[in-house]
Amino acid sequence: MPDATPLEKMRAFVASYPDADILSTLQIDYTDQVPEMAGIFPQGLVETSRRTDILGNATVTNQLNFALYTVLSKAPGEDAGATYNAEWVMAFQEWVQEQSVLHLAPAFGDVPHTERVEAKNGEIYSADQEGVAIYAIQISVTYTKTYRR
Amino acid sequence: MPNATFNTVEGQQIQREMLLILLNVSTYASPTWAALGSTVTESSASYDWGEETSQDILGVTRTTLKKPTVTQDFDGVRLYEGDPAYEQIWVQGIQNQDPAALSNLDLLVIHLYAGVSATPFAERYPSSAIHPNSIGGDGGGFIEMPFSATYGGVRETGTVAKDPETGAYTFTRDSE
Repeated sequence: MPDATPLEKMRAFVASYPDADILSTLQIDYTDQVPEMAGIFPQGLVETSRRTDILGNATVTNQLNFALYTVLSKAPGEDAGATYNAEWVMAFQEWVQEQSVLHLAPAFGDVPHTERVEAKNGEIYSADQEGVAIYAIQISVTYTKTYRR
Repeated sequence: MPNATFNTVEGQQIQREMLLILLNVSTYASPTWAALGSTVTESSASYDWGEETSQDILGVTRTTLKKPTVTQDFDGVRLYEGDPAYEQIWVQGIQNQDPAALSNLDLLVIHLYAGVSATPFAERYPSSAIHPNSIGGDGGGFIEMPFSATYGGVRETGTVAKDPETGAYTFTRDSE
């Protein structure tokens, strides 16, 4: 059985967040504009460094970027719902950090113990008068790949 | 042996990985060569020619050179399972702290870019010394064991052939 792709790993990882059922129905590059939905939007790979040893073997550090959009209920001007949503977004980011620090996040590269998964800049992306708000969280994975000659 | 020539593409600068240093992890008579330098991003051999220069009372400058002492530092050595050269240095240097073993190591320098024909030129130093300089590293990082090598013994020159299947190198000494 082939290894899961990075996208499959990220989807499964986010869906394993224990404090939200909405993440169990994640879609890719799409989310309905109704509450309790979410989508992952891949944002590409950036090679941040490349080391080549004197034998010609290369060690590459990549950063894989995603955006997580969650659609939550938020009535205009209503503080309780807004607070709940904001705390959910912050808690998710802390959970990702904990998973990464404890090496419980999936491995994306060849040196798992050096990998870093970060969820950051969680904020409200848009809100309408119908009681629907979209929150965006940036997720990045920094991992190492080795290529031997 | 006749002078070697560079056998790479004309005008194209020669890649670093065409200069290899290998450690014999077996016996002198039946060597098994393992490459040194995995995870090391920069390493160069230094040649100390024992240069002495003097000037006589007439103002004439004279310089003498000796056969060079060749040394090489390997920094950024990260240990990992599957590298027999690093493992041998670790066993002899860290585990056993065995100076006799460390000062009787067999090194082979392969110049893949040069030769009399297509066969690469190589030089063997059968009584070389290698010693780890430290072992440790940053938290959350890797164990590093930088070491230094001094090429020694009666230098032998020759050629190498690479087994296309196993990738193993075989050194053939020049005939006297």
